[in-house]
Parts: sequence; structure tokens; C-alpha cells
Amino acid sequence: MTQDYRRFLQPEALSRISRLEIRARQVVEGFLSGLHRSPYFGQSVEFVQHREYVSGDDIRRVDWKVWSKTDKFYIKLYEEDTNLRTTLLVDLSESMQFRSGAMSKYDYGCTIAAALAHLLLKQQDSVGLYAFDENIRAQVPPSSRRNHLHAILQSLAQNDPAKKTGIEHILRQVADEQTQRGMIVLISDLLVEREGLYKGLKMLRHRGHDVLVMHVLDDEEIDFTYSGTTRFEGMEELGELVCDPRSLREGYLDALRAYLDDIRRFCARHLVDYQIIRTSEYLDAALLHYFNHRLGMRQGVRK
Amino acid sequence: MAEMFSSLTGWLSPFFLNPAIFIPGAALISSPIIIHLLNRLRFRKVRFAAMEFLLQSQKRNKRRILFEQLLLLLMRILAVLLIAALIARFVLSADQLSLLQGPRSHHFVLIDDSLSMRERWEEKTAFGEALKVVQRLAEEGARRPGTQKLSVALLSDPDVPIINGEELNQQFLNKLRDDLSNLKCGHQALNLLEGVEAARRHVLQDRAVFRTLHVVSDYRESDWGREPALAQAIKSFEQHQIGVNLVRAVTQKRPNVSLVGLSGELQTAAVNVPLRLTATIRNSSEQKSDNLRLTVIQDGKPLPVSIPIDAIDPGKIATKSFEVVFATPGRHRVEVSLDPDALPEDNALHLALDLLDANPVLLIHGGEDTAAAETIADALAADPSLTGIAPLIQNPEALRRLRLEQYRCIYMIGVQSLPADAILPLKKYVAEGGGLVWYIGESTNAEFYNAELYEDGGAGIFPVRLGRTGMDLPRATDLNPGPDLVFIEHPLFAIFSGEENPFVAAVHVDRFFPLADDFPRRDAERDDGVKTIATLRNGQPLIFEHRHGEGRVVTCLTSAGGAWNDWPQNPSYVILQLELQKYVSKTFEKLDSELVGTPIAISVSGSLYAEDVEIATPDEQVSRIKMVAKAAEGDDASGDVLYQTTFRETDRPGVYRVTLYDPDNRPQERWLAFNPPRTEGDLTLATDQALLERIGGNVAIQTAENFDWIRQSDAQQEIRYGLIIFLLIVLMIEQFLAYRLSYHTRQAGVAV
Repeated sequence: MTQDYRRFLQPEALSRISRLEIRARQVVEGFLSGLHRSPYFGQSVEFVQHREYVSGDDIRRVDWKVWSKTDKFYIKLYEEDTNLRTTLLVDLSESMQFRSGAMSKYDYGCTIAAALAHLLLKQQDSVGLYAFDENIRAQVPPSSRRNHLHAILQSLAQNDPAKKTGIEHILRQVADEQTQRGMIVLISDLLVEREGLYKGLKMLRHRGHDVLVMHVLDDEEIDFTYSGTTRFEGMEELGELVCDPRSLREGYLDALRAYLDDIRRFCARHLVDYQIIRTSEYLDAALLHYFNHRLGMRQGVRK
Repeated sequence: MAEMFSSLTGWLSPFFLNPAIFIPGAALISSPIIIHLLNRLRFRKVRFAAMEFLLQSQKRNKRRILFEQLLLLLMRILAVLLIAALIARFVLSADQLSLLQGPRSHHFVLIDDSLSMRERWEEKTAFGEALKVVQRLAEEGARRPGTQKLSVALLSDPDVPIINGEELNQQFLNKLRDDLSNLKCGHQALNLLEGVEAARRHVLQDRAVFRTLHVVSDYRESDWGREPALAQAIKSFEQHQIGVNLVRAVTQKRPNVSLVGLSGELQTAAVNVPLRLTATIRNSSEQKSDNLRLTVIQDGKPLPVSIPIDAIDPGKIATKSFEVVFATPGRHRVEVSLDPDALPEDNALHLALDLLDANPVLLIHGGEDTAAAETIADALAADPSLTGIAPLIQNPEALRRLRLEQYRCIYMIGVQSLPADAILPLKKYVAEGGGLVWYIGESTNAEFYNAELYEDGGAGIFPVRLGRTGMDLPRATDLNPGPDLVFIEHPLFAIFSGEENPFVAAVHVDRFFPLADDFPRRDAERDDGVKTIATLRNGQPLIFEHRHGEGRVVTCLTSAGGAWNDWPQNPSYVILQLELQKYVSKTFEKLDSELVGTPIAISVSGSLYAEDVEIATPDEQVSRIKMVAKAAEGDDASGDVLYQTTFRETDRPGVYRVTLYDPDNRPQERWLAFNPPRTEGDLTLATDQALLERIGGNVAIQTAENFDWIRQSDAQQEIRYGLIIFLLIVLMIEQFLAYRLSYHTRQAGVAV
């Protein structure tokens, strides 16, 4: 792999990203005090509420002042400030290599990953990375050090996607390894086996992770504006087809729409953040849209 | 290859006006297929990620796409085919679907060459326009050699087509030009019905698939309006699946004035006797005709002054009389003409005269006393140079000796009886047009008259049965007043009518011959064609007129001389005799003028004439004909031979000169004037609507000026407009399918 990993951090994009006031989440598990609120109740600074004591609760957390006044045992609950522990999962499979415009989905996905990593590290959140296709091709453990970005970029750049995507066991492996709850960001075109994807996402949610799915799709994949007789050669060994694309466009769009609707429904049902991102969109616009969307949704859910 | 192409062209020729164009055109239908296949072979490659959805779409739409694409391909092929058919000019009729009948067309063109087709306007004539139709039809047909046949017949001789089923090709076209340029329009009024019937017989003989009769005529109301059988005849073509095209050579009515009659008292014409002729002029125009002048040409020399004619109202007739004088005996001719108009040929009429020094009249007296005959002779020709009459007084025996036909008329004056062998020549003379006048006298043998000359029903040369003997008429008295002679209105007495005539009133009739007692007095009772034209004071009929064959007979039941009456002393006597002579002689007139086209039939005795006859036409074309010898029959049979011939080339108006030769080879000429028919001058056209109403809706009416219909009807009907509409429909369907199959963006893609 000879390509320069810095291509994923274009100066213009970075400068735009830097100005973003990303309030990624208000409640994030972590140990760094920052802008993020932890979803977990701990022993830290800020009192949140009382709760009646149940057996098994730590006696140290009983609020004796309340007991003295009411003769009832109440437990004090605190809100902990923590840093965000984010794991980026970047799809490097062959289908990500498709491009119709300036950037392939792979390029675009890596750029998003790089941008996110840069942002989070700037906020001193810890960021880890899994780059995968059929298997995990590269893994960078979570760290909040600023020079960690270099390691992440390097792992993205070193992986030349070529294999067919096998998502279930990868998500399972991530779930197993990421014991501490945090945010999992899946950047992929999701051209994978549907059941495996759903199982993997459900598993991550089950383990308590917040899951973001950034569904990267090329313009042509969404609009399908091909014309004239064309031989479509399928990536990831999906065969080939000679046809007049215009005649198949409607059917194709119907199938795609059904697939996306299916994913949307699944994500909504399992509280997975899901966003389709066109490779022609500006990165900052896409990220802003995403984070605003996520903020609103999460707040609503927790209340 | 070339042979195959030409046989294919021949096979296609009934269906296309340009079959040679259709073959490469049809080959072009492969172009959409080739383009389609090339499109399938020439594709670009795309490595695509979302194949899953593409394959799903393809699986779901495979059958529909295949069907739609095949339909689109079919539409494009059809469009190319239709364009090729349009350029090659596809023609089709319902009959054509039956290929077994063979791919040939036969056009039969019947050209009206009657006089009215000589109408001219600008530099054109109706007949010329008709010939152009033939030329154009042949040219169109020759564009597809080997498929079209042409027959052309003139209405004047429809049974013998001048072009009979000739194949149309370039070589024929060259010949046709010469043939057509030799055709001349006639001067006759022709029978369209006969022409159409002949055309049908001719067309039915041909077994071509498509048979079309083109009747090129001027379609005058006078021809087509009065002949219901003609409409029926045209209609009958439909039963035989023969198409009928009525082609108008003339499209509008033009003003025309015609000379429709030229008459005069030719029976009295003689040298130096002024001959009064009357020309009849008809204005067939829609407007008043004025400034007309009549030009008279006597023996080829125009009279110095033309005769002005008063303005004639539309549709009216005017007459103009004038006198001509001939200074020499023999044959003369007179031509009167008007200034040329739309139809100049009906503006001239001809007259031929065989003028004698004087007209011979035979007076047969009954007894020894010729006084009565001389009285009449004096009345007719006191001065022969004034009346032009040469009376000859003879006894009844002369009837056997003389050639009676040379006399204008014969007077029988108080004849007692006739020799038996004189009755027949006399009857023959009258039957052939001779005039006969009977005067009764004292010696008249009533029994003979009743037995030999009278026949029942007015069939004899004597009109009535007589009583036994003459009867006296008492003079008028106060108790029995009135003139002795009472004329009944009749042309003979026209000169006496209109006012009370003192001369006639002064005539006294003392004696007359009554009718037989049992003979009906009143004309109505007899109803035998014998007309009483004068009676006596007592009501007894006195003068009769009747016809015997072609001749006229006038019978007076009193004496010619002064024996029974004092009429000869009365001035009205001379006038009556002159009028009487004119009246009975009149039947000779028709011999001097014939309608053009009437054959000249010559039948002469072999003992009197040689077998050769020369006939000179008005344009000085002399035909020398050897007549056919035939044994004489009937009454003439005396071992003699008759020389006979019929000359039919009498289409041109004018004077025909027939020259016979006697055994000594001395020529004997007779002149005959032939004039155009008077009916042809009415140039009123029958309207399309009137024609269609009479014939029915199954004929096409075209005009010669517009040739488009020839192309259309050349091999039945070219369905150009149908094809264009069909092509438009196909192109619309093609566009709809193409639009549908091209999947123009109706939405931007999947909403994200």
C-alpha cells in the first residue's frame, strides 16, 4: 500500500470539521470529564436524584440525612462526567471500491472515519478502529492520545479492500472485545448478508453500545442513471449482467428502496442511529446532519 | 440476381407504382434489427457494487422487457416498411387481395368526338384535352411496363378501337403520340349509349384483373340529361367489377350562338328568280347576344354586305331572311355563317341547289279541251322568268312515257280516268315525295276514281269517294248568304288569312262534285289523315289535303278552269296556284341538306350509269369508288343490274359532290349539303351532382385539367392517405414505447 494516508484528512475538510460544535452525546460512559454526560450513575460529582434502597445496594451510598428525617432508606444517585469511548468500524470490502464520482465509497468512508477520529481525539475522547472486509484487517486499540490519529490513519491506508464482506463474525468479535460500553460507528455500504448484519448490530446493542451506522452509498447506486447497453460486472463475485439499465431502473430502485426501508425499520426498532450518506455530499454537512439528528433522538429516548 | 430482381419487381408491380423502390425499401426493415443487435454487442463495462438489486430487477422484469423490446422493434420495422411503401406508392383495392386473378390492369378510354367536343377556349379544345388524358394515362401506365393495357375508342366508332389492348411501355408511348396527333374530332351528334354499350362489350372480353372504363366527354346536359338508359348502362359496369371514371374535358359553360336552320322555298328556285332563304339562329348563352352578323357565301363568294341580326335573348331563337339570285342554271351552293365563338363549327350551314332554268310542272288534262290546263299554266308561268316555273301540258298517256320524278308537281285537271299502267308510276311518284293536285271536271269518272284511285283509310292517291255526278251550288241569296268559298285555317291559305279578303269573297262556285252519300263528311268521323281545308257555303267539303308516302296531295272538287266557277277570273286564283304549287312541291327540300355523318347511299341503274362514282368532300378530297353490282329486285326487276355503294365519310360539314358517269362517260353531278346537328350547340354542362344522381354514387367524376386522379386510379386506388395515417399511428406507438422503455427520470432515485 503506497497511498498516502493523509489523503483522508484534507485540510479544507479538517478546518470545517474543527469549527463544528459537536455535542456527540450528552451521556457517554468514560473517565474524562468533558462535554459528554455519562449514561451511568457513579460516585462522582453531580447529584442527580434519590432512590429507595433495595437489598444489595451499596450501604455507603445511603443518604443518612434523609433517613434521619423520614426514617426511610434512600440511595443517592450521582451523574458521572466521562470521556467518549468510540470504536470506528470501517468496511474495506471490494464493494466499497465502487465509484462514479471523484471519491469511491472506500475513500469517503475512510475520510469520515478520519474526520471523526480527529474530532474525538481533539475532545480527548478515546478512539479505536477496526478495518475489515471478510475478516478484520487492521485493529487500533482505543486511545485518547493526540498522536493516536496517526496510527488510525495508517491502518486505514494500509488496507486495500479486496475480499467479500462477512459482517456477522466481525461485529461479534468487536462486541466481544469491547467490553466497556461506548459508541460503535459502522461505516459501510452494507452490501452484506442481511441476517448477519442484523444479528451483529443487535449483539452490539445488547452489549450496551450506542451504535451509529453510516451507510455510504454512491450517487449512481442511489439514482441509477446509467443508460445505453451496459455490462454490469458484479463486485464481490456477484456475477454479471448485460442489459439496458434504463429498462431495469425502476425495478432496481424498488429493490434498493425496499432494502433501505428494511434497514431503517431495523435500526429504528433497535435504537441504532442510521444515516445514509452520499459520496457526493460534503463531509461536514453529512457529519453535522448526523450529529444533530443523533442528539435529538437520544435526548428524547432517555427522557 | 438481376433476373430475380426483375421478376420480383414484376410480382410487386400490381401493388406498387414504383416496385423497384420498394425492394431496397423493404430491405431497410433489417436496419432496426441490425441496430438493435449492434446495440447489444456494443456495450460499456461497469463494475458495479449493488448487483443484488440489479439482479432482482432483472429477474422480475425479464419477460416484460423482452416483450416491450420486441414490440418496439416491430413498430420500428413497421415504420420503415410503411415509409418504403409510401415512397414506392402502394396501391390496393379489395379485389387485389385475390392474387389468383393476375396482376394486370386494362384501361379502356372512350373519347367523345362529337361536335360539342370541338369547343375551344384559350389555346385549348375539349378534344385536345381528352387526348391529353389518354397520353397521361399511358405515361403513368408505362412506368410499370408489362402490367398495364390500354384501349382507346372514339365514340363515333366505338366498336373498332383505334388502340386495342396495347401493352403500355416506352416504345408504345412513342407510337401513341403519333396515333393521337392523327385523331380528329368529328362534327356529329353521337349516341353515348351505343358507345358505352360497345365499350362494355369490349372490356368484358378482356380478362384483366382491374378493368376501368374512362369516358372522356364534355358531359353536356343535352346528352346526359335525356338518356336514362345511359345512366343504367354506366351503372351496369359495377356488376362486372369494372371501375368507371367519368372525365370532364370541359369544366365550364361558355357562351355560344348557333345557326340551327337554313330553309327556303327551294322547290320554286329557278334562274334569276330571287330565292328567299331564312336562317334560324339560337342563342344558347346565359347572356344576351348582340352584334351578330350573318355572312352569306354564294358559290364560294361572300356577298358584299353581311346581314345584321337583332340581339337575341338567352335561350331564344331568331330568324333572319334574305334573298339570293342565281344567274345560271345548274348546281349552286350557299353557305351562311356567323362570327366564330366557343363552338365555331355550328356557326355555319350549307345549302346545295340544282337549279333549272325553270321548274317543270306537269299538267295532265282530261279531255280534248286543254283550256283548264292552260288557265293553270298561265297562272303558274305567265312570265316564267318571274315565277321560275315551266308548265307542260300533256294528256294522261304521258304519265306512262315521261320520267315523272323530274317534275316538281303534277296537276290532274278534270281527268276522266287513267290508263291502268299509269296509276302505278303516279303512285310511286307521289310516294317518293312528288306533289299531286286533283281538279275535278265534268268528265270525271267517279266510279273509276272510287275504284282505282281511292283506298280506304286515306291510303290512296285520291282522298275521298265521289258521288255519281256533279252538283250545282245555288248562288247566294239573302236567305242563303255568305261567300261560296270558306277556307279552313291552313298554310296554303295563309296568304288570304288575317283580314277579310274581297277577292276570295267574290269567287262564285256554281258546280262541284259531292262526296258519295255514304262517305263521312267530317274529318273526325273518317280519321284517315285526309284533311278538309276548304268548304262551300252549303257546308259541302271542297278542298282536301292528305299525304301519300312522302308526297302531298291536294284535291279540289270543282273545276280548274272557268267551267264550274269564276275563280280563274279572280286575282286570288294566280296567288293560290303559286302557293299550291309551292305547297305540294315542298317535300323536295329535305333532299338538299343532310346531317353530317349520314351515309350517302347510291343506287343507280346499271343501264344508265357506269359502275364508278366519284365523291368529292368539302375539303376537296376525291374518292373514286367502284360500286357493287346487284340484280334489281321487285318492281324494277327487268334483268337490269343496280350499282350500289354507301359512302360513310360524311363527317365534315359542307357540300359533297357526287359524280356519276353515264355509259358514254359523261359526268352527271349531284351536290349534297351536309350540316352539323343543331342539338350540339347547347353547351350547358350536366353538373356532377346531376350525373351522380342519375348514375348512382359508384362512379368517379374527374376533370381532364387535373391529372392527379390518374396517378391515384392508375391501378385502382392508391391508398396514400391511409398509409400516412397508419404510419403516424405506428410512429406514435413507437414513440410511446420508446419513451416508456427509455425510463425517463420520473423521480431522482431513492429518497435518502
